[in-house]
Amino acid sequence: MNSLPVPKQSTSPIQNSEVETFLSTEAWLLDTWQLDKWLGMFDPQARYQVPSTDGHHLNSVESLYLVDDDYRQLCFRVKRFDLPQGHAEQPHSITQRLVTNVLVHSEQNGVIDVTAGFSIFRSRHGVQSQYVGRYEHRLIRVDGELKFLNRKSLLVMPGLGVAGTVSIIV
Amino acid sequence: MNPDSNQLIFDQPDDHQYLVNKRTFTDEELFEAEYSQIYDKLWLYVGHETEIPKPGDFVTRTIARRPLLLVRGSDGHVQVYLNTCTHNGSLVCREPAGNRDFFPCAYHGWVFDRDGELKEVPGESAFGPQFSKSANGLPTPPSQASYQGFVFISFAERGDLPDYLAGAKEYLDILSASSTDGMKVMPGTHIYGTSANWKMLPVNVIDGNHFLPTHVTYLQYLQERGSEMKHPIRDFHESVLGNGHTVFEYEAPWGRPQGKPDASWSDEVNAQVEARREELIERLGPELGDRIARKNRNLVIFPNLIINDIMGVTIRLAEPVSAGYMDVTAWQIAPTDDPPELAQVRNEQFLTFLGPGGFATPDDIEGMEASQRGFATYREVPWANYSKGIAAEIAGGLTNPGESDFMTRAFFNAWQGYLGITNFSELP
Repeated sequence: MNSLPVPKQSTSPIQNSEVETFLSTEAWLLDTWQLDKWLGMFDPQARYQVPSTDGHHLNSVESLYLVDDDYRQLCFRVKRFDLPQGHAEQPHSITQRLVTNVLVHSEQNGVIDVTAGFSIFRSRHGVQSQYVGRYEHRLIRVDGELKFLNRKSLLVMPGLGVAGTVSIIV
Repeated sequence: MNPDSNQLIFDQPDDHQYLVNKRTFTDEELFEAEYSQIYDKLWLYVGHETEIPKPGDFVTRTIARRPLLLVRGSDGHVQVYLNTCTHNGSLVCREPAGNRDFFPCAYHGWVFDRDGELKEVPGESAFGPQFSKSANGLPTPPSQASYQGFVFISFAERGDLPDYLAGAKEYLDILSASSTDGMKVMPGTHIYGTSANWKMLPVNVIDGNHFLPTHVTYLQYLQERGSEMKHPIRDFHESVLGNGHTVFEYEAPWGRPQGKPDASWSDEVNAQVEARREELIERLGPELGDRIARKNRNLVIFPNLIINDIMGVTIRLAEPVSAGYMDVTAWQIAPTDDPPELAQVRNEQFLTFLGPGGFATPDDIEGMEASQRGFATYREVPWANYSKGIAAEIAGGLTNPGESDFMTRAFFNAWQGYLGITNFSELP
């Protein structure tokens, strides 16, 4: 998204506050583990993507991502959180997300490109670790409601380090 | 006979017992002995030649605590250097990867070229007439060699990489023959830490015992997406390959973009996978071609290199940091000629099982980290039990996958052999 146009708030019919509310709602649903409701924020054509920490600019076919879910895989990812043998998140991590720096970059034909900064504090087995990064999402409006068409999370970290996995949604 | 809790390993086949002392996963003095006897002496994997295809391409890497620089030189040859200036010791390259003709040291301005030669020394005359640039090129590790594009170094003087790889060579040959145009390491690297002793990573791969309890949810994923799940793991063999290396080769329920179709893939993708299988059989003969296409291979090259040619193909490397923590780096190696629709399926196959965001690897990590935390009880509960299959071995019977720990025992026997001690009391 390096080539994104400079944000033009004044000519964009979508209000920044609507995107902020959308992203804050998402963070709330994830932190409170209401993942079925969270899935409802996705269009069935959507992908959830996390590029490798050293490959932010690469596409998902020609490089190795950490996560590159289509909707079917994403549905299983959500289901796995509640399977007793989904060991990596049994018991669930405790998380608090901070989402800031929300910008609307463009809105064309109902497709809205937004970015935001995030940090996720995650506690697991008595240890806290942190994910820091930037969202580069593509949203669409379906029947008046915003939905994810591409939910892309760039981890701005030298590697996952002690966080170890991306077993939570980042 | 009762085990002495200072022993590293308690090996009593007559009692059907093979026990490894949990302290071997937690003791920092033993960890230092592992460095001096294993990591400072054996052949260690650094990277793959396809990561740096053009002259001047480079990557930097930390291997056994040393900063290394891999560069493809002007003549196309891949050379590993110790990433340290011959003047005052600073890193000469502070970037993870790129392409450079020159590596200028930022600190005092000495400049090395992509062939490791020292080209510029500010104030050179002040070093006197005996100073020679040609004697101050970038230093190299004592030993370096490649096999099928896999670059190894050793911090000891040795010239025996093929002998060291022993039976593992066959599996590197097989992997390299998987595609007519060869295999290449893809960009995008999984970099993560695991709060567990480094030995747990190879042992996790060797150990077929954990598959079902740990990875039930992955099998559920396959079932739900429509993969053919009638047959469990079958047509397998497990081999000890010498020098601590092992392999587990088997057919599994999942498809392989390398040459085994899957009921959940589109007809177009399966036609391409079938074509790949036919090409392998035509080029390599029915036996080897079918074996490469259909079977999975979990290869461990002692001490810390794992190459899993399974639903995806991954190269994974453990860098021991302390007794209870390792850095892990993992790459995907794939055919250079995959068309995009096949590459997409190949990546899905890889990512749904493998890596820190997969439906399986995070569960392995959870298992390793939970073991490491449990091992803090080593004083009260000293022994990890790797005795499965000894009774059957003595009786001469065959075991099914997951019913014998004989490869884990081979790993620890080799490990103890390299360490050169059998008891904690022998530590310096």
